[in-house]
Amino acid sequence: MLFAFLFLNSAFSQTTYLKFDVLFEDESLELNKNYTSDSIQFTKLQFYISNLTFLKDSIEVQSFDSIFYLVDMTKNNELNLNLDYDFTHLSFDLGIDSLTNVSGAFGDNLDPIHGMYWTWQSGYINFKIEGSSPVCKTRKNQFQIHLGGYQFPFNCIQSVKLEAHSNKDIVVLLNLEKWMNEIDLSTIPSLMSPSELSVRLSATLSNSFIIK
Amino acid sequence: MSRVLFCFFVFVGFAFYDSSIGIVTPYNFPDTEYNFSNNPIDENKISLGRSLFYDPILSKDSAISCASCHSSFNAFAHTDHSLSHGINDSIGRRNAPALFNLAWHKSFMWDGAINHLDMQSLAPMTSELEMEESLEHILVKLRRSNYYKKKVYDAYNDSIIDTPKMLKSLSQFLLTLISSNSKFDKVLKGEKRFTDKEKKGYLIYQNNCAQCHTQPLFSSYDFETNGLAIDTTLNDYGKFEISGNPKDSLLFKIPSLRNLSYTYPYMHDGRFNSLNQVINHYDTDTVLFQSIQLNQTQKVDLISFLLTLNDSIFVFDQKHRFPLELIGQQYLY
Repeated sequence: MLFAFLFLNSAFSQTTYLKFDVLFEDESLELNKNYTSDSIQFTKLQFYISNLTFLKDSIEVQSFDSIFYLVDMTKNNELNLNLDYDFTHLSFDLGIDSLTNVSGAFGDNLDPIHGMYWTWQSGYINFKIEGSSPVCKTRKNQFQIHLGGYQFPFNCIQSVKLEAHSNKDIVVLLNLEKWMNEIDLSTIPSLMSPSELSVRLSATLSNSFIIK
Repeated sequence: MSRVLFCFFVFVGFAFYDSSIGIVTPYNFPDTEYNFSNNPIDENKISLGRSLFYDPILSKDSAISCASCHSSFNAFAHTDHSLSHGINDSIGRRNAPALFNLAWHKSFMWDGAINHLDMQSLAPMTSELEMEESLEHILVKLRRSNYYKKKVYDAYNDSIIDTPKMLKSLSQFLLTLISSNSKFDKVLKGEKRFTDKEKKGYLIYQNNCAQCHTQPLFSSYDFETNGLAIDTTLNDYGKFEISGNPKDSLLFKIPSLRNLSYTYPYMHDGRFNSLNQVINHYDTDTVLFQSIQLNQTQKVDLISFLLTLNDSIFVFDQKHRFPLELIGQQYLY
């Protein structure tokens, strides 16, 4: 009886492959590539994924709250997670929660060495994109968008929930083009502190993720 | 029996060593804001932090250390400089604040821009007007130094320094900077007595200053307006610059009244050189919620009291000074 109970509940334990990627012009984004459409170039793209949670029909089945994953387009952004249960959805936070933001120095992915921490005003940068575009009337046509802020009313962290299934590799895609269409780089080529706009752009960003 | 117990409390009860914290905290201080469980105090870590504090290796040109603007002899402020000085003779925007009793601070910088002591030192290290160095390069330099390899190994059983080790060690040294041995503290303990002027001054303080400069830290470490007209050469709006909230305009972190003799000039922009000037400002200003109106004798009495908050034991403590072992280690990077 006990055996049967265990068998039914701890269904399986398997390694699930999870990858984060960024789409631009329907393809995986390449840094330092001159995109022909409007000569835009990206030199840097990093963002934090935290509070990774797997759900089955809206019920949380497993969460990985010690993982603060830093997606960085110079890397592969692949994770292998050991999952014990079946799931139908994946949810995560885009950015770093306020408690972590006020808890001092951390290493690994939260180490300020990654350039994802504001040194002049405490707080993690949740999402960072830099590059150049002819529409930017700045030095070398550069743009820098750094989204972050953990304090009301400029708390930028966003939660994302997507449909995902067990027994399949999961590739979470950020549709960058969709988000870039919301930004007028000619008027805002740089954004590097918490603001109303950072909150708005973070919200739009959170709606630009898909799992194919 | 009760007399024996009484004596026990009198002689033992003033400061207690909290083993969960690892430092001696004054008996009448409130709970610390700093969470020691995330950074347990250790002699070797304090020693590493002290070396880092005094070592110009943290700056781009190896000329500026934390102590350049925070001198132990000035209660870790920068006497005689209204605005902070930095790399390549840069002048900053604000007066370098005194550093003591930091475990009780809720935030750091005059505008509260920094939310945790561990993260504070990143700001001067990377500021173009202060040390202008990158975190990466500081770690490269520290990892090259045999002196630091040994210090880091002694502190962490691992000779490779990284950001959290560096920041937390600096915090450990800074957390040992506790000022609680002024004449005022001794009067509270019954070891010394106020003069008549000091006693009158204490009453004036209690009626006029204590709301913001709360005992025993002599600051609530909250933010308040100081009633000063804006200096149009600086246009410093204080906390507003961080929060963007108009209600925070011209709010600055309330400084402690301890160690005032060592920490002039005063105010966020160092505009006043004497306590007289400060008191005259609060005496005449009407922007404040409560204006202070004192006659000349009362002003003298108030200053007499304020001077009892000087802590020479803290200021001349050898343990806080330049560590002699750093001699010969510097400039080899």
